[in-house]
Amino acid sequence: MTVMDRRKVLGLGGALAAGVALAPGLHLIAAPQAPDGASAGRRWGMLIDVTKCSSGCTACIDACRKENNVPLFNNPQRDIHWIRKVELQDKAGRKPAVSLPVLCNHCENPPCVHVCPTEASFIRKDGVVLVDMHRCIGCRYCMIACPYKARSLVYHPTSLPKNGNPDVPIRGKGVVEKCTFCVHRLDAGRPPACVEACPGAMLFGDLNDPGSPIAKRLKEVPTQVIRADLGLKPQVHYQGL
Amino acid sequence: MQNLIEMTTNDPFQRDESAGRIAPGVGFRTRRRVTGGSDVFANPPKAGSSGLTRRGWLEQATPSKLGATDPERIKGGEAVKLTRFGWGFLLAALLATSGGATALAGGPVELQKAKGEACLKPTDWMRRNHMDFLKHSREDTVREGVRNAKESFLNCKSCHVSREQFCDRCHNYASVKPDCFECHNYPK
Repeated sequence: MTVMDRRKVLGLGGALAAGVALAPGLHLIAAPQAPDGASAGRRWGMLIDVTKCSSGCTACIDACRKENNVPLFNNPQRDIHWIRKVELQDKAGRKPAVSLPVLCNHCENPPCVHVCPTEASFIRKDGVVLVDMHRCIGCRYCMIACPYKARSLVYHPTSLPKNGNPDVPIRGKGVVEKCTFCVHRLDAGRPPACVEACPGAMLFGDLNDPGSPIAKRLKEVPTQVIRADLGLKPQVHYQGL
Repeated sequence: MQNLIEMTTNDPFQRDESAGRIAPGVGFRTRRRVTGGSDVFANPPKAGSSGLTRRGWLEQATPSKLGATDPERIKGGEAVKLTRFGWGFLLAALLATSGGATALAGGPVELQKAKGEACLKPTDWMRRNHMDFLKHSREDTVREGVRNAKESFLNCKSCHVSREQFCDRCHNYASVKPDCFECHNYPK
């Protein structure tokens, strides 16, 4: 009798879990987070299929700029890039050059967080590496530490662009900013702006959820991360690199 | 104003409200000397009230201008002399700058009326402590990912629709310069 009860309970739990998994099927990522904030059970990650990324396409960059009010100062040395396109060519020149977007890799062992003297850089429970602009003093240690050059200092005063997104605060002069995986969208149950704008090369989701498309694809196809030798465990994976 | 209180607090929401204004400081240990009952916003001047009360309010409202910040001086008669001397000058200045009795009748500053029916906390509480609300929820939002908390900055906009008519007026009067609006968008 006890066994039956246990089975029933397990069956109900399974059905409930299946329902939860299927219900948000329309979305690329799972349901919005609970009101108690970021979940430690999740680990957001990205898979970029380099073979589908054409060198002339800047849809992800444009979408990111628009969504997050990322400014340009008409000075290549001081312009801010949350995501940028990089052309790669093997040294022997045998393979064709590939174009891939590079962004913050949201490492599991982020050197930027380790060096931050004010704990402004931090990892959220769900693995997103963020900068708390209220605490950042603009020392730029994190910029030196990041092997992906994913961070930029705001050198000049900024203002909200005319067609800017009022939901994302602009960053004041003297703080370091970088890709946030669009946390404000993640918390609302939406994928990052670059993923939404990309015509099919980017896949985003919860790496801890074995049923998510990204976790399945990572199991199926060979993927790489940039500078795996550093042991930072980056969460942005590349396919076909 | 004479009863000076030494106060140590960690949690801005767990404190004695009767103790007057406390400097904001979420997550940090704050130790400030605060003056009891000297809240200019809690005790605005009333039109038609006695001169004694009015003087009392002015003394409380502008202790630094009158050189009455030192409790010892207040206890002795020096500060009183100073206040008597300065009172006439201050009142004249106030009348000249703020339109006299009309400004006094409506309180120190006239703020835009809120759209909604009720705020999260009583007005008196919000006047003194809204910054702690915002700081607390900013920590939660940025670092923990708790969005759309009731005390979120974004929620203020729905009732206090104009920054210039509401926030800035009081900030200018109190001569505080919060830098929230340098980055966060709030309708003018």
